[in-house]
Amino acid sequence: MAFLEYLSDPSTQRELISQTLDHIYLTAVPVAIAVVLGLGLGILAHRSPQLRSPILSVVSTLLTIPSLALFAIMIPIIGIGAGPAIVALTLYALLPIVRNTVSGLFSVDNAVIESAKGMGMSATKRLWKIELPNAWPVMLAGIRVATLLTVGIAAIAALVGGPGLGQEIFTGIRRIPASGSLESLLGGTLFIILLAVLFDLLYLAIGRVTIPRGIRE
Amino acid sequence: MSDVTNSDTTSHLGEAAEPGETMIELQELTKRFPGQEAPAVDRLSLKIPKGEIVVFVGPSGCGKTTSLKMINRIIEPSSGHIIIDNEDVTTIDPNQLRRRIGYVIQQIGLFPHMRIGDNVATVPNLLGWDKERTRERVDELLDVVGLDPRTYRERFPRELSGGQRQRVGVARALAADPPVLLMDEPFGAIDPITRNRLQNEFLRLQGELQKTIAFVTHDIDEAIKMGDRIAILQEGAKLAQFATPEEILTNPANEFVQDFVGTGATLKRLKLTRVREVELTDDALTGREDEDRETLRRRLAESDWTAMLLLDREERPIRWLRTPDLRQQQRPLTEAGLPARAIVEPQATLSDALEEMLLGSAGVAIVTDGRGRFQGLLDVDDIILAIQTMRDTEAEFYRAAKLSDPDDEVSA
Amino acid sequence: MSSTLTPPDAQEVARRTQARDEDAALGRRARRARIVHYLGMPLFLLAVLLALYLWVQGQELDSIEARTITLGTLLSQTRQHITLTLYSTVVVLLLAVPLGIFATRPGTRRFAPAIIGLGNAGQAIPSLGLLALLYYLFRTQPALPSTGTFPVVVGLVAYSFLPILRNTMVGLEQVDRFVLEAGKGMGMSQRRVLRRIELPLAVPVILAGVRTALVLNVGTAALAFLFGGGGLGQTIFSGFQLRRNVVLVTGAVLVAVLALLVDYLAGLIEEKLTPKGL
Repeated sequence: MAFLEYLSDPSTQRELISQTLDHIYLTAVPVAIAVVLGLGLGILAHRSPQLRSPILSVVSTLLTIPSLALFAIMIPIIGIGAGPAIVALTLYALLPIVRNTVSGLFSVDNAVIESAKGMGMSATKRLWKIELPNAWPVMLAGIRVATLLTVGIAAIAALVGGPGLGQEIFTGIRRIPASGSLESLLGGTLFIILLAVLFDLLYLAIGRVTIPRGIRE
Repeated sequence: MSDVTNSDTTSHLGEAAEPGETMIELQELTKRFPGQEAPAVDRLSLKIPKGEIVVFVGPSGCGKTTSLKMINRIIEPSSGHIIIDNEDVTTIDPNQLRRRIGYVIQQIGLFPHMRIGDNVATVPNLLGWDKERTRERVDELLDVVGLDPRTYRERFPRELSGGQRQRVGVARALAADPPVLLMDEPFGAIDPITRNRLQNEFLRLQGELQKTIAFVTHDIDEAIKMGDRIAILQEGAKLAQFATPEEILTNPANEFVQDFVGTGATLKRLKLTRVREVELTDDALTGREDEDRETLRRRLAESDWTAMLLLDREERPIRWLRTPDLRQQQRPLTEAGLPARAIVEPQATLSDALEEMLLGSAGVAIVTDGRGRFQGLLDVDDIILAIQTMRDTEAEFYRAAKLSDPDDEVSA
Repeated sequence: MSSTLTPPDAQEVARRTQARDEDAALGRRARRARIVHYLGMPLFLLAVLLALYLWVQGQELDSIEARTITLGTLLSQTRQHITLTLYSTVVVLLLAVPLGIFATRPGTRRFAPAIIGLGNAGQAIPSLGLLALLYYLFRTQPALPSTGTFPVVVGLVAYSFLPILRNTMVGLEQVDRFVLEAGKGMGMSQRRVLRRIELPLAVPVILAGVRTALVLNVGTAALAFLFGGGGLGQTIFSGFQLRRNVVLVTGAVLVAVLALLVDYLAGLIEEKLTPKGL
């Protein structure tokens, strides 16, 4: 019941809404950048066998570095605030996107590519009209995983001065076991989960709209 | 069966023996793959006459597919030249080249994310046709390959059967009306019954379109059926023999060709010769159902025939009658004797005729014209005689040809 | 369309020949590649540590910095960090792998999609929130120990449980159905199929699970200091709070090096223990 009181307090509401908006920002911006970068790196890794292994091992190494360390290392370079978090989260989001772009492009039937070639489509046209549309479901799944990953990890940014719902959790942690701390922990955590669910639904909708009907599951 | 007899393709021996204008010419075409000692295709030279189907056939790894894919430069030749319609296309922009060449592959490669109509419209779109013209063309082509445009235009490839997809593949290749078509085992992944139907339909279509077609298969029977000419390739795409199906069957150039064509070459021949090309027994004894029994009986007794063929008023064969059948008075003539079976039309192949005879347990086939009117008889002996005659005359012809021009060897 | 119907043509032959030649070329380069493969990461990490050491040595440390970055403190935090990682990894594997096997048996298989779905949804739970809530529980329930390693290990296990369970199940589900059917067809009992076919084929899956658990836990253990568990996260946080970048960077680099080292070692183990031919 204390939790409902907490939620109905206007100042908490204001706080949570503003932190949620920050959290969305902290998720959407890195994912958007990672999509652009990851698409490029993925296409590059697909095209060039020499670059494939270096690209994939660098992006997977990035994901191995603990988030707190990556956030912290950005601070001397970028300063305190949303900046280091955005850069670090972008690096995290790269792996699922790059990996799925590569495997999505590899999953396109060779016969489809050869027939496109045989009809005189240029390499650029083939990429945009044939390969990417057919790889898109796999790529979108990667972007979705990257987003869920980012939503969760973004909470940790609060430990080193970043914005978002992690701040509410962090506030709770500092007060444990005092009264009110549980409400903050629950509030921050549940809103993050809620956000993840909303993003998931968003991706479902994006899939509906953007995946051509001929290749939809 | 009816498909076979109705699909009247260009007569094999007559027209193909004198090649007309050359549409595709390969000059010393060679492909070396990196890290491979022997070239996959070694100085292949070949002329494909306008409007003909030339089939590249040979065992696995002989370089037939590589040779085909060099024509539209999906595989770039290491050396040599490709001339299409008097233009050297070896170094022009490959994408421009490919838009002028229809391309059909075994796996079809329809674009799964596009509707059938958009698949067919690919090349017209690349060529920048206006919407109305493209649309009309798409509908026309779907119609040509036997798919109702209203039903199929908006469907996706996965909603079609394998045979239907291959029809779309052919329609897509024909979209911009290219003079040249390359087909790489186009019917290879389709079940035998559908394949046979698609082959016949395609031959009928080709009869109208008169495209110049290079066609790859590993199946000699398909080669014989589809080809105006067959190029039998050995390893390195060495041309073992390049000739009409008849020449290859009756006069294989060497042991390799003989082995590849395999046993049953004579039986394969039967598929090439049509009933109208052999001499029929046209003095058979016939009677008409409106003549009276006594007249018929006397005519039979005076002839050296043991049976007579009874025709109806339209001269369509109905019964075989022997003397005892004519003596009996109880049964009407139309029910006497034996039914006339094994009826074939002149454009049926000897193979069809033989099959009809075996099916009808008759030693003789009755040949009728398009309206079913009796034309003559063809018996088993006639078929065997026909084979022997053709063999002898052709063998003699080639012996003579070789003597008169010792350099005229079929070579790569 | 089935490509098996197509006979291997010149192109295919060429491709194979080329592959063979490349193999030979690889053989020549193999030794160099193996050295890079085995020594590349350790050498890189060593170089990073050396660079960190030289950089810190080159700085004029003020008293706070000097007090925070002592070899003793860092070593003890590293020990705590490793202990947390190992404990939580062992516990989570003991719980999740058997449960994963149990949940993919014929009788229970119908629950598998639901559990895997739950595992996917579990990705959405933020580690910080989960650890904090569990810690709150330990602190507010007098019956539970509220200090030391225990609450944090429970948090780490809770966080890595679903991913490991999910991976185990997906891996086991992927064991080729035909292989299983062949096993049954030869008259092997259910248990024998599991022991002789499924588990050996699942070894790579389990080993991958070990690696994932280690990497997840070593990362999450950086948050342990918030809940009295210590670890190298403390140094990062001190550096941030004290506005001392030398401290912050030292902590961050050490955490990163430790995580990469753990991942590298787990990779080696994975490689060595995976049955040949898989």
